Amino acid sequence: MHAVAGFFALGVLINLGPRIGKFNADGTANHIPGHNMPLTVVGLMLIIVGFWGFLMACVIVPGEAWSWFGDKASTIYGTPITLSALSFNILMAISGGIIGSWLFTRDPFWMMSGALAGIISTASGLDIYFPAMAFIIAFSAGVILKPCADFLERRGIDDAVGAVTVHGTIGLYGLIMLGVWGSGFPALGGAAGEVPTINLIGQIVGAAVFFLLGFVPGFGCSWILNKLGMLRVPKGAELVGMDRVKVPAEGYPEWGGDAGIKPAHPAE
Amino acid sequence: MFPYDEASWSVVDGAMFMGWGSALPGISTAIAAIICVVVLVIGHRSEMEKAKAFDK
Repeated sequence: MHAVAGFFALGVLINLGPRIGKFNADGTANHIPGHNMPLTVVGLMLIIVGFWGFLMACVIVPGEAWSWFGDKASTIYGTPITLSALSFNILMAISGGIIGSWLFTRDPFWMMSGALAGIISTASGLDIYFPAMAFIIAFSAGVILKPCADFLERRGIDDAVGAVTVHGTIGLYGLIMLGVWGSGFPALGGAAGEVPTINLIGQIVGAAVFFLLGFVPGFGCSWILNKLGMLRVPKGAELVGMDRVKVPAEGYPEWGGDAGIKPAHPAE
Repeated sequence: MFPYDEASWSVVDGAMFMGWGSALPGISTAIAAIICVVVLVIGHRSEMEKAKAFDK
């Protein structure tokens, strides 16, 4: 699901193009900061809180006519799970993601994005990962998060909030990790021999399918909107800022007219 | 691998996790603990260097 959304965003970004001032004439990227780091981090934390509700809602209680089992809770796919086990694994994934991204970025934005990446990288196997294993996989996702975002940026893609990397790239990473670690586990509830088991090739094929399911509609829809002139706001409106154009409002009067833009990779 | 002869969740009584009955949970816990300690050491060193830069 995350991979589909993430690569839909990639398809849109290719047609949308970068923001004004994101890339210099020589192709190097600038870092355009958000206006309020505490609000940004609180927003990302709210997404993390929302993940609990979202993932817990995937637990089917036992004993109902529509339940998979009469005596035990399960995921929507009929694999056994408990709320406490799921909650613990989510917490470990958040921890691993934050620590992994902190190690190389020291940036609150990327740390909170790392927490999301931690959850997303383990989401496909949260019902079967041992908590420490979820931590390790999430840690690795946090470590590769920023380099993956930089890879995209160097190719001229302006992913302002890291959506393609966090949801798309890490979503695929999570699928592959489940194929590496979860091979042989039944993928669904059901009798032996009647349900598929997890395997690496199946996960890789699934990853390719999810990539295409997201990227192709995203690219196609945004290509049409771009041709109709409905995708990118006019240059003048972009320079003034959408707060003033759409509302109008002075959302960040303390900033004046512009944010402090600086090179994304000063060493280059 | 799934630790039962039948690849079916109906043989599992309650929730289960990967590595059930093997050394994998212990190994992964040890690796996770090592990661935490290493990150703590690396982080402490680099953060101290940063702090010292302001102490001159």
